[in-house]
Amino acid sequence: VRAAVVVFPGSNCDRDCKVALERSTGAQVNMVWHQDTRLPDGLDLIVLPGGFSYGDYLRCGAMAALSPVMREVAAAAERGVAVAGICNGFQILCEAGMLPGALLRNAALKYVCKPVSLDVVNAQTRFTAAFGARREATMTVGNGEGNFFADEETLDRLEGEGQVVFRYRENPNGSSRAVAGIVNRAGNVLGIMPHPDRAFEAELGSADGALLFQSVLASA
Amino acid sequence: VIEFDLTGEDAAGARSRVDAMCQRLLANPVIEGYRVDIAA
Repeated sequence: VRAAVVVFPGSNCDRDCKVALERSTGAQVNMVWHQDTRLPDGLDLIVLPGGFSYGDYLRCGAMAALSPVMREVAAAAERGVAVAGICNGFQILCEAGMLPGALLRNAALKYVCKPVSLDVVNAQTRFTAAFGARREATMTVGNGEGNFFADEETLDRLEGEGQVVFRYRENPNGSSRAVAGIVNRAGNVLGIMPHPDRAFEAELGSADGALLFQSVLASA
Repeated sequence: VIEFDLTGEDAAGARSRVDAMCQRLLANPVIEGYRVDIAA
């Protein structure tokens, strides 16, 4: 199995993602610079990591969404390659129009960094199959703009079509309907605000993030 | 407010260029509105 982690200027979870993927799945992980115009062949998963790409200039993820590599990421997603955007990666996917909605400032206007308890709302996606019958997961959030927003019609559609994958048990940031993670309609693009890359072995407080990486690479 | 100096275009051309910039990058239409004023 092969994965790539895209590195934007200001990414700061790129190496965490590489280690998390390697240790939890044994995947070969390539780091891809955001100005690259070609992705490695035969990828099963592309990760857009957390961080502050372009210093959050203009809006979180807005500049990175126009990075050259994103054309290739969008084309790969069209071909069915799995794409996971974590935290800033989720913001980038929304700004790129690959996922619906947007991430606003947290309702309390403060950066929130803590472990959160999540409902696994849909365990039948490519990203959650390994959760099996488990309906709870613990991961850490760390963001200032994690407040998921979409209009009511979009939220109804996301819920109705099983695209809401993770939900906060206690909403830390004001996200609409406590949404913590969604997939696109085709089910191969995931955006998640909490960090599976900070929860991939018990020593980190939770190994639930490993299940996410194992799900997507086992389905490859 | 973001100001642009555009040369060699009439008002309609300038408006459509700035509108495209807003749609593509400067504004996120999911959460933001914008208004374009042309000062000839």
